[in-house]
Amino acid sequence: MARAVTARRPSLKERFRGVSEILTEVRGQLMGKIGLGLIVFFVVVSIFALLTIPWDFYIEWNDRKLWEEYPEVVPPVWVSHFGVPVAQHVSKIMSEPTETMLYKRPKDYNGITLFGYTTIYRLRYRLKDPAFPQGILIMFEDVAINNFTYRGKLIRPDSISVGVHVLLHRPDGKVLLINEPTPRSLTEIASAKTVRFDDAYVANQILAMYPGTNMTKDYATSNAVKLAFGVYEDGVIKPLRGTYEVELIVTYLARGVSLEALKNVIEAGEIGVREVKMVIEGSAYGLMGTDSYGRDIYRALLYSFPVELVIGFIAAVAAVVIGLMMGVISGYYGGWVDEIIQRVIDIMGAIPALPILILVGAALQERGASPWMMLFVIIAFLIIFGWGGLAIIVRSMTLSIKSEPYVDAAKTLGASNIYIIFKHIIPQIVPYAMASLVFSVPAAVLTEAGLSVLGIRHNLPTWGTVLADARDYVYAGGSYGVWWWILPPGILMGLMSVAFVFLGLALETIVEPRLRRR
Amino acid sequence: MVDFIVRVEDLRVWFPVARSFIDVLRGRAKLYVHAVDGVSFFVREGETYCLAGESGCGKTTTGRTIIRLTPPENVVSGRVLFKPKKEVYEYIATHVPEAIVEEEGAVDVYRVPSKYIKPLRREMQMIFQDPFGSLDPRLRVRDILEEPLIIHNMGEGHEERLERVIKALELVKLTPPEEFIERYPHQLSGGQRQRVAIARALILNPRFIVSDEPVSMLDVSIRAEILEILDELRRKFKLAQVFITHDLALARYVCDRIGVMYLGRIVEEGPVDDIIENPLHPYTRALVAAIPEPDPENRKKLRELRIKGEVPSAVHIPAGCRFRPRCVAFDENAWVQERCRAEEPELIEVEPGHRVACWLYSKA
Ligand SMILES: Nc1ncnc2c1ncn2[C@@H]1O[C@H](COP(=O)(O)OP(=O)(O)O)[C@@H](O)[C@H]1O
Ligand code: SF4
Ligand SMILES: [Mg+2]
Repeated sequence: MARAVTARRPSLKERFRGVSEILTEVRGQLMGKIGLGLIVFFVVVSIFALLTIPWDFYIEWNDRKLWEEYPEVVPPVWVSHFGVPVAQHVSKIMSEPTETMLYKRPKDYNGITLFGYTTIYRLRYRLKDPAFPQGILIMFEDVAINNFTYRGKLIRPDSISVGVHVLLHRPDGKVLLINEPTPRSLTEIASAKTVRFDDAYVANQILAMYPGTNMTKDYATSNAVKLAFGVYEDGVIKPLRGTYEVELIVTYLARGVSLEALKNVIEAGEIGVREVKMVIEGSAYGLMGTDSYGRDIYRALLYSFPVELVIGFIAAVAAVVIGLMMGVISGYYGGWVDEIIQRVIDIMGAIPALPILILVGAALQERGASPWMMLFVIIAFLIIFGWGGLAIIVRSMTLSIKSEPYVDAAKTLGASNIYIIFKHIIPQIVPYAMASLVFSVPAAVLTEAGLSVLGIRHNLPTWGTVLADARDYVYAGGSYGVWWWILPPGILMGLMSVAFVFLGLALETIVEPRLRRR
Repeated sequence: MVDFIVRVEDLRVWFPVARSFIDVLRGRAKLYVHAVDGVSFFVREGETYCLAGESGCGKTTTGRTIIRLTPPENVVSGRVLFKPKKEVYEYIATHVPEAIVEEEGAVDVYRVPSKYIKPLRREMQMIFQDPFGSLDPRLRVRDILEEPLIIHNMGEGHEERLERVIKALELVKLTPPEEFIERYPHQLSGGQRQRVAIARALILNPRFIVSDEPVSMLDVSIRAEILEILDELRRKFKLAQVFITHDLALARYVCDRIGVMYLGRIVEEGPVDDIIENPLHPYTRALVAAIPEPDPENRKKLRELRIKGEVPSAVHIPAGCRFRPRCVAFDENAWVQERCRAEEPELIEVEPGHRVACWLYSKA
């Protein structure tokens, strides 16, 4: 009869019935639904970020050199869909010159004099909208500087003289030379690597373009890029639309070496420029625009997703676990253990955590601590100062559960304290601890962001640091109009908080049925 | 000396009253609730001993102290002796020789440190007053009943333990067991819960149980049923029992001997029929007079309640006889008043087995 009851352990499904039931209930509430949805979004984006961005992206982010070729403080490209005129950003790597020539005698070419083996790289650029590009940049990506022999003589790369001219052909037929073409040795070219738009040098040519106007040298210098891509009329510069061409001319000459021989070794790639990158910095960039170093904000925001979740979860989980254990120990054992824990909490509560963290952070920054070290210290602080509140609540819950008759019953049965704590007390507190955990995730993220803004930088690109950079930019006199730099990190932080707070509220009404409104 | 299973000797259990910080600063003396204040009695094998008295007189505290639920620091004096099974006695004799007392086969329960208490716990169990609080609401019946087996490593594996759980449910007549085994406490009625609690107390095969008002929180209609189950099992397993109740009529039905407690002390003790038919102590007399009389002819007697005032606080125990402020006999017998004021009366035997603590019966 009764033996019909089969002896079996509770299946996995039964064991987790509690969790899945809670999830079902959470989904039944509007707030829970929104919270869960947002959290799923954050997790999915985090996974995407982990798959697409290298984990050590922060090194790249902090290397200013790597971002030189990007326009600074420009909005995202999609603003063009909202009618904002945009000058396209164009960047092209060329490993073959568009054309080569051999001038055995000095010869005039587009107003400049060339002599020697000449390679020409050309880049066309269409300015469709009435907007100004931010500049022109030429980068020698790969320069071969080997020795070679010519008729038994050893020729060294520093004896090869290189002339570099960069011409800008405007749609109206005018031609500007964007830098001063002083001949340099091949080794110098290899180490300098970049050719920039020389404002002062261009200004002189601009002034010559507008004789009889009252344009000053200063004005021309400080507006050189705009004037190069525009027309000056009645004191204003208007963008000049049409097709431009940037022409990079590199001429090689080596004393005592025939031009043909020089041409051969260069074409063979043994010496000379092998690869160039020609960049016209646009007036918009990427999905999320750039910051004042030309860094791609989109990538920082994306990288930040998993970082923020990890910061939030580690800090929250650790604080909640410690708070739970301390609260239970304090409430269950009472006596001097309780006294010590409670006094420690009191003291922690009286310590001005934030000022101390700022000091510690500043000291660490001074010593050049690594980003991970800084982050570790911040998380450690969040944990150390984060467990006390929960511990107090858990202690009082433990006190009340401890006096439940079923705890006495368990003692009478011979249960040890540890058994009672883990079997009868903690399971009752876990749902509250979960709600508290959910609430403290965004708290940790917001504190981390707040610290960045206060100047405690861990230098990992996070929403907090992006926002802090924007603040620095604005404080240094920049415009508040950099919405693409300020709003997205702010909105993401807000969304993350909303996600966890909504989930927490939904959980709270489930674990605390008295809060239920029905 | 009588052959006992449990013997309580001059037990005092005091709980400190929390003082405010100001009180401490003012140097006010530390006050105590004298919950149990000099209680001695014994329980024989297979016997049910009742502790009766008004609420707050220390019955529960006495019961909890016997099964060592009261923290040792609150047990300010006295001993609780218990005679466990031979193996357990030997276990304690080897591990905690200081807990062994001169009485043969007995151990001093409060001398056994918690580290070695587990085997002793198997032998003495308790049924708590509140069946709604004594079952963990998150556990199913099977988990609740399996818990003692797991704690004491009883039963080879889950399946054997389940067998035992089912047997225990059958014993308390929760049948068919498969209908109850998966239920949570909130899916059970009060009576069903108390049966689970009884099953839990008995599943370890104890030789002694404390039943603390096991039916007082149940509907009147199901009390008899629960009491019957309890009585049947007590006989079946030859259990010694301390049965706590504030209801003398119930005590008469349940026990062999009874101790009437007042303000932390036993004031009268004896075979239950003796006590109820011939109460001697003024307090017992008042209690017996208050028993609802089923026979309408006798109901008139009930009117003259021979007691005055309220139970005083257990913090400030009246000097002399602690019952004096409420004692009608004190007022009526001028000759005894001096002694009542001066000294606490001890229990003295007036008839074989019938003892009372009142100066009225003192021969000296
Ligand atoms: N843990 C405790 N701490 C402080 N006082 C207690 C404690 N347990 C019981 N008391 C007090 O001891 C007295 C006796 O209580 P109790 O033994 O529960 O009486 P009864 O079971 O007869 O109603 C009461 O005054 C009660 O308030
Ligand atoms: S000793 Fe005195 S006061 Fe106490 S019960 Fe007896 S008569 Fe009453
Ligand atoms: Mg009681």
